[in-house]
Amino acid sequence: MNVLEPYMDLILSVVYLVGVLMFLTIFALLAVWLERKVSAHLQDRLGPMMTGGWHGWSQTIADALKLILKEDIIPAVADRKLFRLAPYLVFIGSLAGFAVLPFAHNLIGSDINIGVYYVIAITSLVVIGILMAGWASNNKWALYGAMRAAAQMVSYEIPVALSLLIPVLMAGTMSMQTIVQNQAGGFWNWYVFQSIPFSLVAFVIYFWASLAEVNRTPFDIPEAESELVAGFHVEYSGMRFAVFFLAEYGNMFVVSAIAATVFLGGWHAPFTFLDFIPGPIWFIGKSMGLVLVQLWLRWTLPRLRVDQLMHVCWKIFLPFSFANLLLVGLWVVLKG
Amino acid sequence: MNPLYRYFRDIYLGVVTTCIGMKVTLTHIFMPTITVQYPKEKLTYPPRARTMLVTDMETCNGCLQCSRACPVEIIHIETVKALPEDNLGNAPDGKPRRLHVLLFDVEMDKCVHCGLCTEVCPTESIHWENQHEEVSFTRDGMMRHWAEYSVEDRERLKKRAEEIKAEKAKAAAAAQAAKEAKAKKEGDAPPKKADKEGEPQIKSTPTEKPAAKADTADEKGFEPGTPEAKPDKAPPADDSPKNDEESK
Repeated sequence: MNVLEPYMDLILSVVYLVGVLMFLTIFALLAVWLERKVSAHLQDRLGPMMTGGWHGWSQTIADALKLILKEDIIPAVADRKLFRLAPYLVFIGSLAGFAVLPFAHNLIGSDINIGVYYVIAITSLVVIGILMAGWASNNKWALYGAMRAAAQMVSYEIPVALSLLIPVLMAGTMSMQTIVQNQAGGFWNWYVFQSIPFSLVAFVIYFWASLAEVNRTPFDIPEAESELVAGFHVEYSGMRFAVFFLAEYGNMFVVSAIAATVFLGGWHAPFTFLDFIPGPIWFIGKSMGLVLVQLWLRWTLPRLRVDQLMHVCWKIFLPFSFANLLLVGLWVVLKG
Repeated sequence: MNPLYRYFRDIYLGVVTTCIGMKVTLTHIFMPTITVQYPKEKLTYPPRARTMLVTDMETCNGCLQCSRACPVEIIHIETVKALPEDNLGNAPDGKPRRLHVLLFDVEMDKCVHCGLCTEVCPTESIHWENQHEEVSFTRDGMMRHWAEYSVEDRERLKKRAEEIKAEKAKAAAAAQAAKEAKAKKEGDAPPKKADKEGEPQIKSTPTEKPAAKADTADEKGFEPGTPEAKPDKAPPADDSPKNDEESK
């Protein structure tokens, strides 16, 4: 063991990374299947029913295998280097977010003291990847999608950041683990129910703006199927497309997990007598619940126009977030 | 309208309508689905659905009405006259069958599903049945053969019909010759004039007669006895209404 002692941190990091990658893959497979089933049942359909027997549970596994086995196509006029790099950049942006997600009181990649800031910063990498993909594809639909994605994600980062500042103000720290620990002892201690209505408004704004961050309906104009075919990843196929898909669903989980961490008490049980259930189950359960709401919203609302999208961001979310921040600051000062 | 009021009203409406929409979709998740898992579950069709043509050869009497009614001419029927010793049994109307239906082919790939053949069929032999799954990848596979005769039987019966026809033609020719001889013996023109008088009334008869004679025994089947009656042309007034009925 003495030989391994200096490398212990590295080994643990690699093990954790592999674990997160496995979790991400399984989550993406499950979420895609869930998305199909939820969308189908919301529309009185059945969705996949054949593959694997019970309610088509292995449909997404079959799809993933198909994507892996497909030919790797790079368009002749594409910028080969950027085209190859883009999906991995997007994927890194989404995977890096997992580093600061507190799955349990002792299960976190890195409990850095700027956790919230790190998440806001690292998920911005996705924008660069998407813009890169759209530009390198040398396709007008891809470029339109990428431009829309960039405009939308950069705009919506502001309300997201301002809303995330509210729990940071209330906790007095940016460390994810400390924020979660401050919400211990029952659901009434969760930040979403503290300083009502400010934090509730912040939670709603964060959730809606995060939909725009991950390009979900009603803010899915970067991928608008009916207008742009598939948006920035229209030229991608096979494994690279699968990586985009994985990153998209990973992003969905990351934004939901952040909401669960800073607003919904992270790995804490809603009641103290339920503490015997391990933290990761609560954490993943809360995140999955928010992911389900995302799916539910996707199949309820129509897609917004670009000007409507910007209207919602700059004229509604932004002033409300600023007012919210001021009022919560006042609340924190008065509370002492 | 006050712009500030409109601004807050828009936000309020946005939130409220989103909630209403989410409520609507949530109720749908608990509703029974309307999808039918096709190969496992099947819908029952309405009783008058036009799906696939099926012919019941037990009741088909080979009248050719469906073949004539078909606007796309996809029903191909071949019949030969039966001899009394063939013992074909009785048709649904109780009378003995007089025709062998050697061939009853329907090209279902060209069918326009108009249903005219089923409407004209006097015995409801050709009808719709819910067999929409009986499809094929080739045009030949969409051919429906309903006749119950083997190729050998068909050839044999056709040959026999040809022989009988030839015999009859021979007999008719002999009769004609005998008649002409008789007419020559009489040695006068008047009977020929009588023929010409009757012509405008039964204009179709002279053109139809040779065709029916040369082609098949089909036409004869409807009015057995007429071929024999036709050559001598004794009652032209009787003949014409009969022919009209038939061509209808």
